[in-house]
Amino acid sequence: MTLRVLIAEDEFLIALDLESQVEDAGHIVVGVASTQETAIVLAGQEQPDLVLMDLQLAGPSSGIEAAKTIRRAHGIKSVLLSGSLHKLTEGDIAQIEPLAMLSKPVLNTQVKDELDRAAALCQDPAHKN
Amino acid sequence: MAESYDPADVSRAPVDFMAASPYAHLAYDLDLIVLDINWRHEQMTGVARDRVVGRYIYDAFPHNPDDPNGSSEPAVRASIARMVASQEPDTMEPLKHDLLAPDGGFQERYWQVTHSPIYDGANGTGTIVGALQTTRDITADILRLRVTAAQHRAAMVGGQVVLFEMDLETDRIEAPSGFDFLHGMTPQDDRQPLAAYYERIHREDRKQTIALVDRLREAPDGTEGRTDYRIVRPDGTIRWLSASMEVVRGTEGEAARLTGVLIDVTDLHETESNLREALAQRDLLIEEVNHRVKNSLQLVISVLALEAKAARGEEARESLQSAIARIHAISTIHASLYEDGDVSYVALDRYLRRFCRHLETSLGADRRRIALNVDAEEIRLPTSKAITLSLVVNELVTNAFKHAFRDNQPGRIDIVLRQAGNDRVVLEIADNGSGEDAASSEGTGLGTRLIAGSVNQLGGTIRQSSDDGGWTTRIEFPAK
Repeated sequence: MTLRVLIAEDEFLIALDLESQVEDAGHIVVGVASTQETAIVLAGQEQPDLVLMDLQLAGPSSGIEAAKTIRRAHGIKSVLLSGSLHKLTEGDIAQIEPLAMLSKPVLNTQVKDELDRAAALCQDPAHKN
Repeated sequence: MAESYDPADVSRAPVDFMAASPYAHLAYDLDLIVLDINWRHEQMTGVARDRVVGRYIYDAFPHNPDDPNGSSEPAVRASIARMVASQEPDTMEPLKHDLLAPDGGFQERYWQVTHSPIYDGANGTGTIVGALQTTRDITADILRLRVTAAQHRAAMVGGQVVLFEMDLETDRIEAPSGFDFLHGMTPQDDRQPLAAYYERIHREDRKQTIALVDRLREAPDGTEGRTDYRIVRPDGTIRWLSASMEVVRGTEGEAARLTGVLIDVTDLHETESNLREALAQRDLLIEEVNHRVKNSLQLVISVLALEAKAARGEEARESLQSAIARIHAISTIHASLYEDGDVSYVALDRYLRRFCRHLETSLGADRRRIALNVDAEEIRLPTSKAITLSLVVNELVTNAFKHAFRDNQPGRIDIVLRQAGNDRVVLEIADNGSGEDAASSEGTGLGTRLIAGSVNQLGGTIRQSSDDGGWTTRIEFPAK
């Protein structure tokens, strides 16, 4: 099935690459956010199937908080991308319930694997969210 | 048969107690004229009985004119006066009275002296006519005490170290004034009650300190305890004290005394916390740099990927793809760095499995029905070596995929990593294809140079062989 994906990544070249990876895998990018606020707003508006979430977003904003809010407010889960995954506490992980945690630099095959897995899950309505 | 002993037989010669006594005894009258001395006294002083009896005691044992404390005579006369008044033995404070040596010089001596009354009647009847002086030489004890006192003084230089004692029945503290000083109090002659010192302890440390003292209170003899606690001085400054204590009990095992040493360890604590702060700062910086490195590598990969997508010619696209693959090889090492807190070494076996999973997907192993097997022993390599090796693995596996299997025939590629001897590592990459020499197929290509250069940098050797079952590349290199 085709996923609707929101990308939250403040480095636009990386965001652009992720966008093309998502599209190459046959899915749809519904938006690209570079801050915590935009990510939350876009998630509300677009109701994506999942978010590719960088943990360090632009400015003082945090991908960790964005992922928590989006999970809580909209019931949407994230695939976390970060160069410092070890900064996540157990409490963070419990609240975010990430679909996956990918350590940067992320290989294109890893993104594709996670999208495939999520697509399989979404196909099964019992597993929706 | 031996003659039996009859205790009632008073005709026996009386026991000479004076000669048998372990103490030195001297009897003198109230004018201090010596009546007699016993054998121990002669032995102890080295002065014979006939040079003493009948003489004024300070003629027989003259006092040292150089002794700053002066003669012991007034103290001796006072003791005898007390004895006469009380009609009881009188024990003097430790007494200094130097002995005249045969060479005419004086020897420093300290004595424990007891005077007991001599009556002119039998069994304590009649008038007191003299005193029996019982003397013990305590010079060695006094000198030892003096050494201890000197050690105390040395330890207390700067008020940093204080020895203290506490009576566990009354909670009375005995300690030099430094004890008050360390607790931020004005030193007084009388020590404050225990609770007053507890009051000075920082709120967060008070409970554990009291608990330790109370635990020791109940503990058997010799039990030790140590605690560090903060003192809030009246001006608000905080000092760190370290108290080491030990219980010393009396014969009945009751809590007799708590004895210990108190040290001001503020400087130590400050140094420690400064160090800890500096370490945390350093860790933070390393983490920041690490994060940036990973992000930058991600950026490089993304830029190349975008470039590849935009490239016109097939050849250009392929070049960019192989550049991306090579950077991926390096990146996988970086992504696995810091995962187990060790930045300088990489768990190569774990890396190989992760990287080969990536290669399987990126090279389309499923589609081409080529199995990629990793058989790796647990080996850790320095990070720089691991990065170099990762490039070799990428080249060899990619080449095997491209060239080993003709006409899309299925096959397998085995990657074996093992220890060879103590300090050497062997990496073997073997295919079961029927293709040409994987490494030389690109002849003058970058791949070949990359492999040769990397093996050279590893300080290793490379050997390629082929049989009907395919090509095997064997690389051996030192682990360090």
